[in-house]
Amino acid sequence: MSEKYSGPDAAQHAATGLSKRQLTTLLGGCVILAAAAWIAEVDPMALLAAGAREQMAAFVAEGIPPETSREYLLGRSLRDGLLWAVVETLAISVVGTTLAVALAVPLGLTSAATVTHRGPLYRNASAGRITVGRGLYHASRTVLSFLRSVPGIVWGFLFVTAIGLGPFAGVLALAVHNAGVLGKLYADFLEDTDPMTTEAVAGSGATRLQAVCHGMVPQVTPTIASYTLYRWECTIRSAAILGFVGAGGVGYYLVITIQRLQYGKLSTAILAVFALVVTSDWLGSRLRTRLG
Amino acid sequence: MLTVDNLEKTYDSGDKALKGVSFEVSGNEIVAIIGPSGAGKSTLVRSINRLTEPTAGRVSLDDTEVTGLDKSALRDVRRDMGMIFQEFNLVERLTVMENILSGRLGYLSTWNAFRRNFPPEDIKRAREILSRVNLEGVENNRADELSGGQRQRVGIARAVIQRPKILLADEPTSALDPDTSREVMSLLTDIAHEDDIPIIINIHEVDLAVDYADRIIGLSDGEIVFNGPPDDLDQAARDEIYRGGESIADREAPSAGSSTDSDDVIAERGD
Repeated sequence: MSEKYSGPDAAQHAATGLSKRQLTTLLGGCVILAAAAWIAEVDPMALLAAGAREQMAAFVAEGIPPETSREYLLGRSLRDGLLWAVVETLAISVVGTTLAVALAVPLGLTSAATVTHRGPLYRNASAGRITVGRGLYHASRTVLSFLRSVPGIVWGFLFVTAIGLGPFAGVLALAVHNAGVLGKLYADFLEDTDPMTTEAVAGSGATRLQAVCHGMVPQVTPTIASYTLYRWECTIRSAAILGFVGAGGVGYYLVITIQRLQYGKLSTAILAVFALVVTSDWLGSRLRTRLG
Repeated sequence: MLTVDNLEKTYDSGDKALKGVSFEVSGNEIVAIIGPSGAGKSTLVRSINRLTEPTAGRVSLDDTEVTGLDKSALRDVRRDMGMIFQEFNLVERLTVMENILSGRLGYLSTWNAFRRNFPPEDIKRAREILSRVNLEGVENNRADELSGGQRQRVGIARAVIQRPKILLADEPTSALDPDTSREVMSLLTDIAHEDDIPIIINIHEVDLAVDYADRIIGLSDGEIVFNGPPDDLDQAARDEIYRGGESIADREAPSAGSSTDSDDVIAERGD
């Protein structure tokens, strides 16, 4: 914790160390952490117990070297084997993120108060129009919260139940969950735009829609593109575990090898996920640098 | 001709920013509105195109009464009023050309506007205006790459491309250094004469107002206390506008000049 500039009263107390307020914050933080640790049943001894050490040693012994047989990696047909599952994971994340953007754009617009009912675009609006806009805003925000609050893997389970096993269920799961995440981001960015710029466009006689498209949206497009790419990197990680519920991708290999205690194969699958995540992070950050 | 008749504005906070202001502007007159901070200068200029909604009174442009127009009719009349802002209010991440062309959005169908599909004559006119405001060569630069003076000239170009019947300028020089301020003022006067349109400039530098305006309106505490040619603005008139015992020099400090006017804007923005 840096004391010097962390609060309004910090400068006065810099000489005497922690201020009273900082001390309270620190103590409060400790109490919350202790309570959380108790609830989470934190028990360091469990890690050090003899049984635990044996199990971990067994995993390391059997997991090394990782399984690299041709049959495990490539399988017997095109849509088989670990490498195909990795490619499938990548494909699920790409299509899933694209669909998520397609859903998040309209929902993000209707969830931004500056688009629906507040700020310079609504200065001459009737009370009725503002009420309608506010209703749309709240409804749309609620939808986004719901989409976001149900985890991707739960959506995956629901879609597998609805349309059957396979990667398309994974695509839909990622699309729906991330529409909730991205839609909220887009809306928050739109609410954070410079109202004077939007007002200037509206002041020249543009319609509200035009002022949104040409005054508000261009202020945030680079930021939005950058965050969407970052979100795509996150969906790769989510897509890697969708296989747990049969929604395609490399997660199937993770769960099946754990259940069958095939630690050599599990090691290979973990390494494959690691390689996928590192590669996509590298690619994502390269693309984001080019956007900035 | 612009007619402002008994215009009043009372903010939700209870502040009376305008207390029955009346004046007329016509021809290619440059009218400077001067007055101390909080006199209502910004509120007055913004009430003309209803960026700030006046509480009472009338504004008319030619035969159209602006106050009381419905939403779509207000959009039409706003196309006839170009506005220039203190902080330029450009879309920083768009190019100079895109910013200038946005002044034509009011004339485009929604679909064409969405695709940024401007008619060729708009683009041709944008290029002509680029050379008028001396911005040739930077048309493809992003607005955030320009200097303050260049940005304000983009702001002026965006207003001029509307082919307005009147220009409104809200503190157009406050964010600029003295030399650049003079360049912007002479550019504005050139435009008034060449396009034969009047300009209302809300300004706090009295010297600039005296040098460039044909007429000066002095605003004090929401009321007009002076309305005449710059030559008539003697010391007595200045004292009347800037009454309260403080010297004019103190009142003109830029920080004091802009803060209250932006308070007006913020007060408007509350939900």
